[in-house]
Amino acid sequence: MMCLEKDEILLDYCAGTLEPARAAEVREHIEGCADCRRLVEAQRNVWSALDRWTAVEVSPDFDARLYARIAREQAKPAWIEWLRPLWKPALPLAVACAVLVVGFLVRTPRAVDNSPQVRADKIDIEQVEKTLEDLDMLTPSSKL
Amino acid sequence: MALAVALGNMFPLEAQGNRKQLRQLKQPLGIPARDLERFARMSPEERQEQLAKLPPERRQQLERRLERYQNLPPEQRDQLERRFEAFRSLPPPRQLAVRGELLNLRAMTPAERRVRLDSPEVRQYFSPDEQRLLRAAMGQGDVP
Repeated sequence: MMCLEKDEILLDYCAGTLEPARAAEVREHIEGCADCRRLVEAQRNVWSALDRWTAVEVSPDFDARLYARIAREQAKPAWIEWLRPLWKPALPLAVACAVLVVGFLVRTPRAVDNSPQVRADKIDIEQVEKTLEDLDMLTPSSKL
Repeated sequence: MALAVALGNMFPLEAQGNRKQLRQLKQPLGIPARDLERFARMSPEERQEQLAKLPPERRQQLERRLERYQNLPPEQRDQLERRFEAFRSLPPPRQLAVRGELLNLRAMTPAERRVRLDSPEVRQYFSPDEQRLLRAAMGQGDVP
């Protein structure tokens, strides 16, 4: 059974939007299917994390300051608006220059770090952990 | 090679007089996991800095797993490397499926594993290569 195709149903199941009979059917399937069970657990973790999350409160005068800023922008001198069209042709040129610079940097060979010690910020410890976990999982009779 | 030497630095076996194990360590491991190799090449201080990012339990588990690979004989290391490469070459959804099945199999007795590996579900859901990988990780044969 290709359970991975049922992601959408499982997400509905986690959200509690399935019909009771369908939900019971899915629940029964999950009991015997590790993949689906794992997906449901992961999804529940997401819901749980979202439940714990509290939105950042905006300051009480946020709207007032926003409107004031918009008003200031609109009140700028007319000559700034006249100059604006002059800048427009410069934009593609600037983008082209940026692309050339990036291309140059990408193609320029960099010095290779042959030092035996590697800077700590170059690795992701969670990747190390993941690799070791995979290696361990693939080792027969591994107990760690 | 670098990983093996670095692992040797991490666990000063010479100080323990265990020269046989030290010789094993200095043989190349060749595991294609860049972060793990980099981690092993770090100085003890950098390594501690990285490990400090993990909660104590995960950190201890990581250290135990590293030590476990340090002690693997070269032949088993080669086999493990082949299984690891086979596993990592699978598309992510299939890695997820294989990982889930391995967790299932690990929770079973040897007899139950044999039945499960020969079951129609496993034959239908996993490709021949994946089935070979599952069996190899359970100590039954190995990947080519």
